[in-house]
Amino acid sequence: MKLARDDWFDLARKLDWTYGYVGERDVFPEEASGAPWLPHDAWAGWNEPFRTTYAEYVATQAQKEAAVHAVREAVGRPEDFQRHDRRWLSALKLHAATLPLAEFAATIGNLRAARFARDSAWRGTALLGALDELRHTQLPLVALHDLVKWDRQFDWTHRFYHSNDWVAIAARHVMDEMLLAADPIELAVATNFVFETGFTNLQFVGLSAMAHDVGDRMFETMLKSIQTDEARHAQIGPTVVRTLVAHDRARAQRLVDKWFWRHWLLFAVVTGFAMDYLTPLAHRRSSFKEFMQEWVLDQFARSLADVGLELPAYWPTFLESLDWYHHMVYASAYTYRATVWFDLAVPGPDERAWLRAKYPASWDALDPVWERVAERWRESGPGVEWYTHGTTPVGFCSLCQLVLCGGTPARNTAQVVDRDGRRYIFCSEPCRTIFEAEPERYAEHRDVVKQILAGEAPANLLELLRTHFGLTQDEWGKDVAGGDYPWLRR
Amino acid sequence: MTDGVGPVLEASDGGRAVVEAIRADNTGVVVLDRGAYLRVLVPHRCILRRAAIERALGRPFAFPSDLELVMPAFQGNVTITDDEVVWAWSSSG
Repeated sequence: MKLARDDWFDLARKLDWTYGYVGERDVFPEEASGAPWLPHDAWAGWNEPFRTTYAEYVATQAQKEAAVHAVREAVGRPEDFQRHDRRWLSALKLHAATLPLAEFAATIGNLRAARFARDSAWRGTALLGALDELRHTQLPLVALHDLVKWDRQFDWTHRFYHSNDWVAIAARHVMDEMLLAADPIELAVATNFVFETGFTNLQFVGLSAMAHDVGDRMFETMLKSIQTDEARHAQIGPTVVRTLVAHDRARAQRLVDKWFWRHWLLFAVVTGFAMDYLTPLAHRRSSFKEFMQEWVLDQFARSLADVGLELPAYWPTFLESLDWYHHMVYASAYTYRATVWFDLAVPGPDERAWLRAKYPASWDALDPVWERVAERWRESGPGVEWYTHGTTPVGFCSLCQLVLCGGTPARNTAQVVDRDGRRYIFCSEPCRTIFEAEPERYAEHRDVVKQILAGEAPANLLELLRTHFGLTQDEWGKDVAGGDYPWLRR
Repeated sequence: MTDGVGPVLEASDGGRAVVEAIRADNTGVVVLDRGAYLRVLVPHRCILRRAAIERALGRPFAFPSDLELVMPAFQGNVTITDDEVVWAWSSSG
């Protein structure tokens, strides 16, 4: 007689035993297993809702891989990509550089949890998570780096995280802390709970829907396939958070507050740029803010209430920044586009009308920025990139390492703090609060400006790009149309 | 929908069969068509029965593996057995 899966499955996943020769604290030291340290009894009720055996995992993943590779065989050739709008390719370059190698760091974080997490069912789920993240590294690396054959900027798929580009410094700062430096408890809160049940849906489901409308079947299929893995292993999150809330609610709240804000800033750049500026207007179904409403405000906020936690204290600040932050960073990035590895676009009259309709609270104050940019291009004519470009290095936040773009064009929210004889500057109140809660973790980090002041990087912008960021002239970002927009011609 | 729960499904034959099975066993089902994906929302509690989806598809369907192939996300806490999948919140919002 064949046993039903439910009849034997617990025997295979609950494999903890009582140690006879060593103490539990020796097997799971707090520094590796995380705080608060609790005896196994506290974790013994740990159940992953999305129960999967290793045999099922292998069979299911093989089917997913076959589906993605079938699409790649059919439409993943360079000539299939060449027919896409150059803006959309910029969105792909942004994704290709920032996500795949972060997923590799997630493999390492999950492997640590697969050894040091406090219940065998949790460890088993984390092990499958580690295998998932390896897939999420390899798939986009192979699909997107391949395009370097006809566009050098795709070389940043591999190079980005190994460079000193300012975006790479910011991305490493958040990803390394979350995936390489966090213990399994913080990892579960930061990655599985906040990142994977909240923000990754924006990029991997929301942007996948946009890829569908753009007609990019390869990217759509890859993102969606990746997120089906995430939906499974993200379930580590709520289960860990519930136990954490029961034993140390304040720590649970602090970790959620910290990671929600850090992820918001990152996704505002990566997904915000892609959805509101780099997707061709004809294919935009919803704005970045609307996707945030669906996936983060509605869905994640409800999950937070369900585990017994409050919205972060800075919630009103966050809600306000939905109308401003990614627009401010995009405008800054456009005027410093040679410091990144992808091209940026000036929103034309139709796009500005769309942005005004989607962002009525902020666009009137943002629109004059683009009026000035357009005027500069009219004066110089096409091809004169540096006439519409900044020349002196800008300031970065001592926590998030992104440009100081908090607030509005009229009211910047930057804050200065003097501490132990050093000056720190933060883009926003939440970034300052996060820094001050764990200063020993962040104080020694040096952003680009501090590296310049220490004589470790050149102050001259062109020299900085070439020798420090590692960008060559044919790689660094330009205006996507070289300033030659039909609507700009008189 | 306040307190809505349910899966987000890819807009494929498999995903649509899941929607059909959910409609058969729940009341108040809302399906938001986002082009590439379908968001299913049911007030408070959403149940998906293996028997219903096998009827809709006309072939065997295994939980959780066959569901995982067509479900990039979901809302609510999920409980999965060999025969049914339930999404629900553990507290009232």
